[in-house]
Amino acid sequence: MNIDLLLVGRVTRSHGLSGECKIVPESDDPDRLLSLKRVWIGTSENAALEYKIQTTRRQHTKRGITILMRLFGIDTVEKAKAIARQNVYALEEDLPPLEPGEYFLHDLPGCSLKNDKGELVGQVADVLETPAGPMLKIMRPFRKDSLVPLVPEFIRRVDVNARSIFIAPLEGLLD
Amino acid sequence: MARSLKKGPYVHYKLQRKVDELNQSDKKKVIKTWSRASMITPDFVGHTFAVHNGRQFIPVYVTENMVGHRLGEFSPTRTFRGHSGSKKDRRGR
Repeated sequence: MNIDLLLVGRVTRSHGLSGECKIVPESDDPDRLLSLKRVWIGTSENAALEYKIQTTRRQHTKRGITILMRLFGIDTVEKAKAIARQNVYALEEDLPPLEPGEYFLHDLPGCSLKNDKGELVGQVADVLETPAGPMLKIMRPFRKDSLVPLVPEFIRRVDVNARSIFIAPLEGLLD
Repeated sequence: MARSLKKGPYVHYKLQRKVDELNQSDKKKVIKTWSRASMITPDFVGHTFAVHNGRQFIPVYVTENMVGHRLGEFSPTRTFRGHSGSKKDRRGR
C-alpha cells in the first residue's frame, strides 16, 4: 500500500457481543478519532485493510479515554477478536485539520534549529517521547547531542515548510 | 510507610538553595542535579532542571501538574525506542 497513513490507535480487545472494538488512542487528543469515517487496521501500514466506520463513541476508563468503534463487516465477537492487538491507521486528510501554529511531531526531524539571532544551532535528529513530554534531540557539528524540551518557553516558532525551528535556549540548556 | 508530614517534602538542601537563589534574583537558568529523589515543590514551577539518569542529563521543564512527584520520574533510565516506526498522529504547537 502506497498511501501515507498515520497511526491513530491500537485495537486492544472486543467490547460487548455485537462486534464493537475497543481502541486505545495514540493521538494526543482522542476526540480526533470521533470524526473519522474510515480506518485501516493491521499489524503494519503495508498489511492494513480498510474498514468503514459505523459508529464511534468515547469510553472513560481508569487508564484514560478509550474509543469504542463499530465497523462495517465486523459484526460478531469472533471477527472483533480477530483484529485485536492490531494497529489503527488513518489518512491525514481524514483527520481534523491542524490549527494555525500546529504541526505534526513527525515533521520535525531534519529541521534546522536557529537561535533568536537566526544563527544555526544544530539539526533535529529525532523527537523523543519522555514522561516530561516530547523532546527534540539536537545534532550539532563537533559537539555532543543535546535535548531540548518541546515547550513554548524554549520553542519560539516552528516553520515546517521552511524546515526551521527558532528557539530561545536558557543558559546551560545546550551544554 | 509514608514520610512524616512534620518533616515536609524531601528536597536536597543544595538543590533547594539553588532554586531559592534563582527565585530571589528572578533569573532563569538550567539547574543540573543528580538528586532524582527530590520532590517537586511549587517553587520549582517554571524552572528547568537537568536531571541525571545515570548516563546523561535530561532537561525537565517543571509545570504545575508535576508538583508532588519526584524529579527522577521525568528522567527515564532506560531507553524504549518503541515498537512501531509509523508516523503517529501527535501534534505540537
